[in-house]
Amino acid sequence: MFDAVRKRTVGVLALGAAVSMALAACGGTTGTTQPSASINRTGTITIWHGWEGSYLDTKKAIFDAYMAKYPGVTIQLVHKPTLDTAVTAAVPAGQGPDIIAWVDDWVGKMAKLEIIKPLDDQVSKDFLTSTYSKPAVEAVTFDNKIYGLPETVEAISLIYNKKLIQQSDIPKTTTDLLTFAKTYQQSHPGQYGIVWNAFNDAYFQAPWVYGFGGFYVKADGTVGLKEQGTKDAVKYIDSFKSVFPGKPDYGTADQLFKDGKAAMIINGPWSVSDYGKAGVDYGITTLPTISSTGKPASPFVGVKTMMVSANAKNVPLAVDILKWFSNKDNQIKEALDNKEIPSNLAALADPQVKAIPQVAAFGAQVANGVPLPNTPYMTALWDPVSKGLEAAWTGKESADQAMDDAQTAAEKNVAQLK
Amino acid sequence: MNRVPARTILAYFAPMLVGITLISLFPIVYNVYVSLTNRSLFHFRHFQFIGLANYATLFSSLNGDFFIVLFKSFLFVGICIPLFLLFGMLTALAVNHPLTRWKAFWRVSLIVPWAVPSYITAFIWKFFFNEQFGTLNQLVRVVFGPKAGLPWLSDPTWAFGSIVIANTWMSYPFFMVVFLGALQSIPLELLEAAAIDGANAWQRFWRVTLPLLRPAILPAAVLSAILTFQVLNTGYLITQGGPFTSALKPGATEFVMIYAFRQAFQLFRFGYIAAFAVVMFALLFAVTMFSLRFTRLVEEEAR
Repeated sequence: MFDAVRKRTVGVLALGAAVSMALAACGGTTGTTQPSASINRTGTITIWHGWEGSYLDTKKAIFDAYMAKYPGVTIQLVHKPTLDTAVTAAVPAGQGPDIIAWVDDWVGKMAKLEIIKPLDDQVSKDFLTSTYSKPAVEAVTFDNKIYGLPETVEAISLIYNKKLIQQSDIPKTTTDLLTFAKTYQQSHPGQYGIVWNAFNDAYFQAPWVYGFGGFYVKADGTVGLKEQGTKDAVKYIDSFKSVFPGKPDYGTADQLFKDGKAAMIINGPWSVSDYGKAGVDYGITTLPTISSTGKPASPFVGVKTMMVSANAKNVPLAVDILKWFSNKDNQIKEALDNKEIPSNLAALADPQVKAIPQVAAFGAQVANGVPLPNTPYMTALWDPVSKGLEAAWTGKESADQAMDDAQTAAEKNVAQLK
Repeated sequence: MNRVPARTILAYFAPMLVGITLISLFPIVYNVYVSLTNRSLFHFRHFQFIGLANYATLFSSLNGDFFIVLFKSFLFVGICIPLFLLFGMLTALAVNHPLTRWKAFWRVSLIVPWAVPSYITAFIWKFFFNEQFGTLNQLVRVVFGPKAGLPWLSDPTWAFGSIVIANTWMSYPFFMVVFLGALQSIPLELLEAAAIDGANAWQRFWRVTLPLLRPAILPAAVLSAILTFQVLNTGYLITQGGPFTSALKPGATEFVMIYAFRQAFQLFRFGYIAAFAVVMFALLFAVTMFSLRFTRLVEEEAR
């Protein structure tokens, strides 16, 4: 299973998307909902998602259990490789699913596009805050309205190969990390002390940017790319150039770690089961502290979020399914099966869950993280940040110049969103 | 002779007319309408008419993107089409040569790149070009040692060339098929007569074969140029429009459709990109009309 944020930028095959957009726009009717006190548990609920592999198996089992409990309900799971373009085309045309499963960075965007609807008449704020962890509550709240229910959370962390590095040797600060990368490569030619997707990915550089005191964008649309902290982070990232592969993209970093040619990698919970399968004896620990600020590196905490489509016919049933899906027992099951980190407080407190090493380790990293922004302004940032990082990494521009240009481009994009 | 009433003719035409209106005409008209609105992320389902503001943004000197992207696309077409012609011609001549054996086998295997869905081919080439594990750099390392490697996708010029290579690979078979058909229609007597008159192989090709192929070459080249101008799959899947040298400039392989796709579906600038599409349509329409007229002139001259 790939990280959702990455997938957003990678898997786009939609040549016909423009055509379907235009066609979709002529459909035009919007579903209306009738507020109902009791839940009518009959009919079909369609869920569009990006789940794969064992993630999908577990979730399918959970939905099957719901259907067994309420035989009148059919839950249809539809895998969409290009979920964003698909819902953007389908929902305004009065079609598409009842439930959209993605990550919280879409919440603001989808709300502004009027593709998802607020659930305040179905879900109370008290229920939300008493059931789910704080970052999860923040993630599904936009403009003071509830736009979905949280599933599990994820953040990138430091993963190491136990055969290549002792736990006691793991660098604790950013200065040590760079020194380690250099000395490791001297003693192991052709191998790497650490690798990550440093080439041009905004999501993977967030731990440094936020740790150095910079930021991408605030909820009011303020862009932070020319902040000193952001620039310092980019300079730090670029200082790894001499000890990294030529083009350190996600696939390259991932493959090097699987092949045992990299002692450490920065990656998320979705990656570890593959590392196990590749025969890597891995451990997970938190990212180092930033030497100059004394703050921990702060990755984005993404919250997988289930949103209800503006066209959903039976909203109470959709919400009921989501409440079931994110209840204590089912989140425990997801943690046990796939090492996912629960957002449900009761599941987090469960001793069985606490005993899972991967969940404990990624959970510690989540505590240092910053919420993945759910503001629609983040949409305007991915592209300029990615281009700026690439320009700085490849040396086409200095880090300062690259981020100044990215700031200008991002501000322009933010203005054009409105 | 039975006269068919106009109403009957219209009834027979109706299904096709309805189809064309719905599938082709309506989206065009709708696109023109969207280009006059402020449709964007914050005004997606409720948008307003704003006149020609999007066109003003497009042409304003501040937005250098438009002209850079356009120039890159024309350059891409200008390099690709001659390569398509060259490789299409070489393979067609080789397959058509009387000494070539297993013609059917060669015909089929040479057309494979064209028959495979383009996104699969794009991913295969993306792997070939990978700098760490890719086939091409592995070959380079065998010859030049373990530290060698070419920046297939990370250097702007190389990346442009890489897309040209991948695109040529998947497009030349179309020309091969066209040329093969045309070659087989050339009477052997003409070539024999030329040979008897003392023309060597090169002269026979240049003076007899090529002029007779011209009616086939021109329409194929025009059609292919329009398709190449609008390339999306190949470029987007291999480079996403990159490499990028600054956040303020379009990427090295950001051709018109890739630019439109990024702007429309990553930044949700629907109104702006609809205006962009209208201008592209006008441009391609003009180029097509010009080339059709040019083709006709050439054909008349040939007669």
